[in-house]
Amino acid sequence: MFTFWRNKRLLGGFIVIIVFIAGMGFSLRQEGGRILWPIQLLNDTVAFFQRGIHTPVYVVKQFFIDIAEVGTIYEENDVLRRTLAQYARDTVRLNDLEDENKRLKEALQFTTRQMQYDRYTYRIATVISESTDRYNRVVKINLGQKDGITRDMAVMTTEGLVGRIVQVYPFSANVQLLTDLTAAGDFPANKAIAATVLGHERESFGMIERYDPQERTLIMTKIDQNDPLAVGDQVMTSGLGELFPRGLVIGTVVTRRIGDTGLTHMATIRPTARFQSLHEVFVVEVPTVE
Amino acid sequence: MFGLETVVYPLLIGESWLHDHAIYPRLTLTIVLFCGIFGGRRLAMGTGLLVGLAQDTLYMGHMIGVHALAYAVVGYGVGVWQRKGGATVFSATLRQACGLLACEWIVFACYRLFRLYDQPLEAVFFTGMVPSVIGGTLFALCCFWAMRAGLVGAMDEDPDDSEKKTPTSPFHTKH
Repeated sequence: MFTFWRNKRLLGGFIVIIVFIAGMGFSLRQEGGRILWPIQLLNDTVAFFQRGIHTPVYVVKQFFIDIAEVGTIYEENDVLRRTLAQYARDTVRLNDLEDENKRLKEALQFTTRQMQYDRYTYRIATVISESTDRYNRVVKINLGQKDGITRDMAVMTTEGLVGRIVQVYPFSANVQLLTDLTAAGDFPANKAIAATVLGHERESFGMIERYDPQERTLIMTKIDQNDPLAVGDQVMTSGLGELFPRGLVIGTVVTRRIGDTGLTHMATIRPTARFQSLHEVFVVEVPTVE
Repeated sequence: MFGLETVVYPLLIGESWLHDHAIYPRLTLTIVLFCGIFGGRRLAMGTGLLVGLAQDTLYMGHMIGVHALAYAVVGYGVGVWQRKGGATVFSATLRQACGLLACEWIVFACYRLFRLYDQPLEAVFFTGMVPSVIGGTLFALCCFWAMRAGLVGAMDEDPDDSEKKTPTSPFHTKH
């Protein structure tokens, strides 16, 4: 023990490690704070080069994938043709419904804010790189502050919600995936998602609090015992939380059981979005009307 | 190397390897360990600190400093271990493997310490850590063989500035 205290080098190393760990804890509490300009510069510079590498590699990869899938092109074409016809019919119906909706809202004297509440803008972004840390799944996209991206914006694919913006730099942004959602700590990073069930938006409510990496499911808690949520239902954001806007598809209910406290129920949700090989994502911009 | 790790690998490696088996290539760490073996403990610690800090800064999710700490400590540790001897490819590869595993442990411990990851060690040890270490070690072995001529030359010089030590090249052959 005395030898340890006399060994200045070892003691110094020990102090450095303690300072490092304290710094980590400090940075954890500071999440969401202002980002220093050297960090912004570093991020954007690296993102610029990563974009330069990403594009040619992706093109080459896609070329080989296309060659491998050439056999299924005819079937795919057929499906697309039918989908297109369906889409045209749906668009006409949607336009009619939107007109009717607008007319009714005006008749009911909705404010401008109420009318534009769920008129989201979807900004297409390309994923340029991925973190290789399995405990911190962050992907970098090619849109940033200059493109109107702000912190906590929801990010989704055509399949469903994938994450939220955690860091914004002038020309790039970091997206934290839903697979990184954890209820273990009470830090700003761990923001639960207020969710509801499609078709029972007014009767159903729960909080998606964490991701189970073993089962690859999201855990939804605080579900009322009389909640109509059932296995197979589609879960989406309710918009009641402070983070995600309403109506973003999250996943499908796999199981439902009594929660740990016995007072409420919990459910496991299989995410509809795939978190692997993300290439194009949509950043959901919610209109800010005063 | 960083571009290869974060851009090319996620695109080219089969997604089941990366995501289902949680095998994440740590090529930059491999370089840090190379520095520890061939360049000395201080160089490895400095490189580890810089590379780790870059990793933390570029993919800042929860907190900053985890990789900087892990890479610096592991780089320094491997550098110290290298000074104590061992002059074969096997021993250098063993150092690489132990360094990779130690780094995995430190990163896991930091996330557990701050309760940012709530899965038990058993859950990630066999499914994530061990396969990643095997992958990283194989990559390092390939690098050893590809650059062996240059590395032997590097090892003939004293890696830790003024400190006196005998050359311990992993490719040193007995005559």
